[in-house]
Amino acid sequence: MKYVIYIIQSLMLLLLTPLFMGIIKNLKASIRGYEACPVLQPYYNIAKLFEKGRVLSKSSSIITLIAPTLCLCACVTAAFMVPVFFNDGNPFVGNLFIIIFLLGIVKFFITLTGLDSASAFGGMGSSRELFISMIAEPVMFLTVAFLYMETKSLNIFAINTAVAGMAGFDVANCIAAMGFAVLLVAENARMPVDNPETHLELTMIHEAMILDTSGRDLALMELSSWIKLMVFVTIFINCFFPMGMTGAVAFVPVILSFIAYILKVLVILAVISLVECSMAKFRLFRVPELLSAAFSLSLVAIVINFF
Amino acid sequence: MYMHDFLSVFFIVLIVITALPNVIYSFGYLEEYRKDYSLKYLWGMMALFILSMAGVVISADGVSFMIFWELMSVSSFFLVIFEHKKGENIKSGIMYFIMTHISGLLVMTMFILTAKFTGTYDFNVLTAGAANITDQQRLAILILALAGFGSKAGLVPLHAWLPKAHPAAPSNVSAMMSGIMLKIAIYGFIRVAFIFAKDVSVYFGVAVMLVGTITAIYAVINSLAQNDIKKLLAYSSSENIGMIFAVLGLALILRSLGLRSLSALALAAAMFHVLNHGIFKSLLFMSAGSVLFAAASKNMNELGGLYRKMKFASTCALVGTAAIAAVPPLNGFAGEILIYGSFIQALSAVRIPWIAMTILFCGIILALTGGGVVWASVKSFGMTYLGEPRSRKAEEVHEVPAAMKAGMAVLAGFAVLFGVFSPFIINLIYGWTSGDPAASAVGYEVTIVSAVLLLAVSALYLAGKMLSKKGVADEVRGTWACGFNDFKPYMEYSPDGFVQPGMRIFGNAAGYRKEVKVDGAVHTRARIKDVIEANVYLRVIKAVDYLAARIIKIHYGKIQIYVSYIFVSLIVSLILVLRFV
Repeated sequence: MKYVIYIIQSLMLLLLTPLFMGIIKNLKASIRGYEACPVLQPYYNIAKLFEKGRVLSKSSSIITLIAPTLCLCACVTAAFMVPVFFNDGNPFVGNLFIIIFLLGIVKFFITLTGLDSASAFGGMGSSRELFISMIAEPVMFLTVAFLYMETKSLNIFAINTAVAGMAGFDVANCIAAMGFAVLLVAENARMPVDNPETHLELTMIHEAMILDTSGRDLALMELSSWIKLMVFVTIFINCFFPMGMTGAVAFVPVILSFIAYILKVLVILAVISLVECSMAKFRLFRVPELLSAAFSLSLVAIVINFF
Repeated sequence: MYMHDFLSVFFIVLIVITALPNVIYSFGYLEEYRKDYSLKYLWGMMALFILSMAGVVISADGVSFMIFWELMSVSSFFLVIFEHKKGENIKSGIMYFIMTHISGLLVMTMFILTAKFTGTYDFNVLTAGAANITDQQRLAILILALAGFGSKAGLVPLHAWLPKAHPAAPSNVSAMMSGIMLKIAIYGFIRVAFIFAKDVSVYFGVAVMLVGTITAIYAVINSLAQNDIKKLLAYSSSENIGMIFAVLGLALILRSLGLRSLSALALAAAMFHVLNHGIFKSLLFMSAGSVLFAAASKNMNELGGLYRKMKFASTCALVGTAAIAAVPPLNGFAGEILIYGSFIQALSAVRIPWIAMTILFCGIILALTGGGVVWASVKSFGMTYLGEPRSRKAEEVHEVPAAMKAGMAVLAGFAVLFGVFSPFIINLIYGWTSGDPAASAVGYEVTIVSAVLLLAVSALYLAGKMLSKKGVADEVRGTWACGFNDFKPYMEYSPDGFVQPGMRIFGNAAGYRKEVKVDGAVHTRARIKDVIEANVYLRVIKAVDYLAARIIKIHYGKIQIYVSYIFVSLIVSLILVLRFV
């Protein structure tokens, strides 16, 4: 029964992801004061893209053919490695490093896709993406180190249980959460690191790399970047704010926990939309400053915990 | 007498599994050299090289160790200068010859000192613990070991021969030098620092960790900056060696603080990474060799689009690239999570603030290095195999022979196997490092995740097959060239431009300079140099030149003067021997 819930929760995460994207679009529209598309629009978009044929570049190689599938598979696998709203201590999977490196598959293949079609846009996007992810790597290391020092485990299920069991809510946890939030933004191509809405060469990072994919491939790429964002959000929630999480195999607690999860996700999505509506994108060479701020925050959190 | 403990057997396994595919590969690769050079000479030297490396690993006393060590150095020198008709190669070869002999000298001094302090060359006696030496003596031996084995392995600042010798050697030889020979130096270091020296001062461990970390970050920035594939790979070897030494340093620190099981974990991580690096770096040097074979160039500014002409070799190169970029479920990934994991666990176990902060610092730098490695590997694969050809050479590509493909395929298979089944191997190594064969360091999560990943890929592949039956055909069109209808290869991103953001921030470590020239059109080019080589090595050479110019004055050219020199030095050495020995 317990394993059925594990599978169901990850399936829910995967199925609801386009809805969450629709909610972000809606929230942004209402903040900016214009009429929004239907909340379910991302589902229609994906369905539409699956119907369409695809255009391949003359220059492209096998990378363009396999990358979308591999990216999506990596994200789906990662989604099955994290607790969403039910956690009874999964002994088989959940090593944080493995989850992060699984999501790294997306980075590896998406940057190769950028180079594959011989377009200047793609190369530019890959170069910028790798630049940002290189600078972001230390923040990732520090966050995992912080969680290990706090809970003595690298397993996200155990981390979740341990953080949920902490008596008070300490300062270090909040500071580390702030650092991880910046990392979340940087790794998932959101404002102020990357603007997910434009196709202007000055601002593109993520969009530049998938500029030459179309049809089914584009659908898979879009889905994988959305799932990646939601997996990061889920990790964020379950490592830093695991209130309301249940471990009981019963109907009511699971439903309550599910509602708590949805509420937390909605708060985070609201923050993301607010940031995206109120800030301009950073110049590329100011992104390291943002990430070093995140770095300092995580370092402070570790130092607080150490002494 | 020979050594047959786990450590020696482990390195013999490494030699066998990387040298055999290399030999298969060489059957195809060396055909290119048949018309200009003697193949018998090369095969003979290669056999001697492989055997001498095996000899180093199994020798059970300092003297035979040194004999095999020198054989290894000399045979690899002759392999490096194999293409002797190119003047540049002879220069690189001589640089390598000098550096390898500095290393040999230090290692020899170390063994002599060991014998003087303990009275034996025999490894078994040393292993059993002839531990009646003082701390200063032990420290002297360890420092000599670090410098001697470190310079052979390519630690900063003694790394400068690597980016010269690897590009000069034929690619199968560079694969062997990078994949195996550097590891033999690590074998020596593990043997001395972990088995002979029973307890090591914590300061030495910190020093090893810092040297390794600095090597890693310095080499990864330099490897990012390179446009020559083999130079990029050479710096990347140096980077991996740095990472291994950093973990070895961590293991030494933990052992001297009494944290035995964590120390065993760090040592196991280092040894597992040794194995992985041997596999994927051999594979990558072989793919660089196949690029050289097929397109007669190793400069990324002239390459591009090779995938369409050599599909099989490129696929093997993709596996190697993904392995070094730590993409799951390949072996580089399994090694890297173990390294990061041991750093993080050490961090929370060590309760001495300055040591914990040093470990944290090194972990951060290694994480940054990991990001740089992904960048460098994507650059080397993307610029070489993807996109459009950047020159005529890359257009007129011919397929590589079957023997080369077979060699690379075997190693690509190893890269997958050693990743998916890494928990079994890691636990085997951990069983030795922790002294308890039944102990297990990691769960079987990597294998489970690989299985899930495989399941997901096949499910999605099948789903894609079923969906695409609806009869929507793929269209193939030229890439949109921003309104210019005539696409030119120089519109692609260039290798220099690809890493420019990184160079703007870290470029000082690679001596990065951008030059802009305006004559009608604007020309920009990037210049790089090895900062340490330019600032340290050249000064040392200048100083030696200066001293030589002074010393030459005593050569007066008269036989009587030389006889008196001999007489005086005889008396001085007699006095020294009688007085001090």
